Amino acid sequence: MALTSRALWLVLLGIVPVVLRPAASTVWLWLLLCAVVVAVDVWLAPSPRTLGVDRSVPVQVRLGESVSSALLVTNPGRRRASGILRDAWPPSAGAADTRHTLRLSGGERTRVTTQLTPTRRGDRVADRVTVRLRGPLGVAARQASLEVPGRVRVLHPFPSRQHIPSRLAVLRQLDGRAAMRVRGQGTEFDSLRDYVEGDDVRSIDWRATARRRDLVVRTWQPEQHRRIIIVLDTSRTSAGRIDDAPRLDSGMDAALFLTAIAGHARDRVHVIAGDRVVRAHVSGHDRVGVLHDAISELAPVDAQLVEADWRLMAAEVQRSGTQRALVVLITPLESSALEEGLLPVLPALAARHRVVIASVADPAVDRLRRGRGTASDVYAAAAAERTVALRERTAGAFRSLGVDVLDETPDRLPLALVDHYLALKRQGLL
Amino acid sequence: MNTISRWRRTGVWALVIAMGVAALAAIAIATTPPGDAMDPEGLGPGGGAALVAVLEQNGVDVETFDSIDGVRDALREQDDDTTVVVANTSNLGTGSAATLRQEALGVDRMVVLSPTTAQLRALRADATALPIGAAVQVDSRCNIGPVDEGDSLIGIDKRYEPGGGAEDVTTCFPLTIQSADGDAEGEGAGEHGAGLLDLPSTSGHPDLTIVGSTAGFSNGVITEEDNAAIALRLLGGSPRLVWYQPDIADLVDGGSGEDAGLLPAWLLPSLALVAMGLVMLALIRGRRLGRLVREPLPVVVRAVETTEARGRLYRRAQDRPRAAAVLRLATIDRLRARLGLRRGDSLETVARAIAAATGRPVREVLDLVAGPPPTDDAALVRLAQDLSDLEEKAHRP
Repeated sequence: MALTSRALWLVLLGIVPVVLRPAASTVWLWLLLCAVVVAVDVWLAPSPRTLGVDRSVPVQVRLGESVSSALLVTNPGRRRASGILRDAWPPSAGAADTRHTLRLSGGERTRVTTQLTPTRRGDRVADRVTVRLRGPLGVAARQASLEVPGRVRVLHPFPSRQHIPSRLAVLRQLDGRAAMRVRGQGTEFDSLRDYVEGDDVRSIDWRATARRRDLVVRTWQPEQHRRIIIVLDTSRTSAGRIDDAPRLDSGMDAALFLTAIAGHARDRVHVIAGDRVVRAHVSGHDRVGVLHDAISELAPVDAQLVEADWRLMAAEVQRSGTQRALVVLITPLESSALEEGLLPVLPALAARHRVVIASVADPAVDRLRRGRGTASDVYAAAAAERTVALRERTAGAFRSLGVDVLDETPDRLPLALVDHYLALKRQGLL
Repeated sequence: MNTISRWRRTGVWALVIAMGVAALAAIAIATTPPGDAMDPEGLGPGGGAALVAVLEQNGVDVETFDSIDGVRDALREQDDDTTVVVANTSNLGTGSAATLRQEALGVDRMVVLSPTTAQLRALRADATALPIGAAVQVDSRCNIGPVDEGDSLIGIDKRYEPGGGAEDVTTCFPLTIQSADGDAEGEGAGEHGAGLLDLPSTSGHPDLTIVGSTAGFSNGVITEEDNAAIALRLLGGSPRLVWYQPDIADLVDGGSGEDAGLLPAWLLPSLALVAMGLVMLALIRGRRLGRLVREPLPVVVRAVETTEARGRLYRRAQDRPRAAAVLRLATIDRLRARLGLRRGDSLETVARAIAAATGRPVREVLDLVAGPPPTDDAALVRLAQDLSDLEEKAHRP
């Protein structure tokens, strides 16, 4: 039950009879009358629980884009239902206006839409729908909160997808159209074609040239059907924010970009995200499907304040196949965390697979390093140099195991990682 | 030095507080609360015990009450051969005064000391009370029973002007203002009320004597001039004296009804309605349209926080040698990579290479990258700037 402002005016209207008959009993009688009017109005108001409310909301939306959640409200009774409806969403769902006016005559059906512009990645679950229906006098209303389940998955914005065309162009160059000089494990003979100026003379197929009496070159397909395993660390070190975005989000961007490009290059991609438990594991043969699944599965994954269990992650990598693979570990180069957790399991992993460690560097450390103004600036610069030195030491330890280390700022990391992958592919090192 | 000044400051404060407490105590001792003036048992200068004692010696039966209920019971028991006195009217509420008037209709005489106009109205005495501002001494210039011509009363601090409707009112101790040349005929001169009004009994009140003096009959003043004689004659006229010393409860007791007439009758019920309306407004505004929605908040930690904290730690510890060593090592590492030297090369080799690249003397470079640690913050800042200059020069010779 709820009262409206009309009930207030009704009570204040009692001043008229009180002036005419100034006595305490007048007040009591008037209040009694008001109570009766309110009770009758509540009794006459339609029950909000009888309304039929159905929600239709898109399954997912990319962060930064808007989506509308629609509620289909049906009035099954004969009485007119008018009042307000609130479609409650958590603040990070960015609901623009959650209150809607309802005016439904008997049997009518209407649709109310709430515009959502989510402000954070992850699952946004709709809260209850609250309906307040006024009585015919408009003095009081009946109110009820209804459970109408709804969920929007807010996807990673994947900003590096703008670079996909340029890297696909690079990939096409690697493809059969260019004469490959180097043959790797997975390179396959593609075709013979006429020599054009600029082709490597070493790829001329002399036997075919002799038959054709024209210069003919062999072309090789780049390696295909290689396995790429991307491991995304969601432990405490990934929770640290760089320019108001967690490191995890930048790492995710790089992982998705690599998934997209590797899918186009017909490699099989696994994406594993986890810390002490595996939070997501995406794999498949269909390249479009894998990218789609990865975007969707990684959306609700958030960094946890726990230490990563690298033994478990290594076991998960081994379980996804014994074939040699490119293992990309996306984790911040935090010396203490990695030297104790990752370093012991890395030799076994590096012996079996080609391992690349991709780390999100903090440009703020670089800014601190250049501080020379005051004494506190210099102390901070010394601290930043120390941080850099520690990272270098850790990276050096990894490199000595034959592991490639990429340490780049958030905007550079996806490109650096994919370029590294393309370089490996070009050299047939996958 | 510090301790002494602190003690001195504490001492000054203690002295100030002690003086304040002493002053408050002195004021409390020196002043009699208004309700205690003319207390029939009061032995101080403001009390009335002397008058009571003398009256009792002269065979007057003095009964003292401090509530209107006690007075009412005593008067209902017997009201002839009785004088009623209200020696202190500061706690006499209008309701109590009206009750007193009703109950005392049969008494011989009622004496009221320095009542206000409102109290007079409650007693149905048609007179106005006006302040004087000082206690003065006035001659009687009248002859009624208790007051003789030529009596002089000291301590008059209130004057009374009888209203137009009052007849047979005797005014005593008239207050006159004399003009500059001494006679009573000048402009602005003449009578301005009186220190004592004697109102003969009417249907509304008994024989009523109003005295405009709060302290004239108190222990301290009663022996002066003719005050004692006037007091004894006023209060000792009957064998029984009911001494009413109202306490604070009588100030509000039964006071309603008289003032309520000024407000319109519908105001209070309307205010009740408005109050109810305020409660309803709170209910209306306070009713929430559905519950609050919980927001699971993410962890917010800046990645650079550990580095900044380490910088603050260096600064707090004033660890200049370590800060300098870290900065030097970083510069050497970068220049080593830049100049194509190996990790194992000695510092001297590196310094020589740097000197060659920058065109600076080897000694200076060696001093910069491996000299003694700076002794103060200024030297540290200078060292850091020199190191970055060196690097810049090596990059762009």
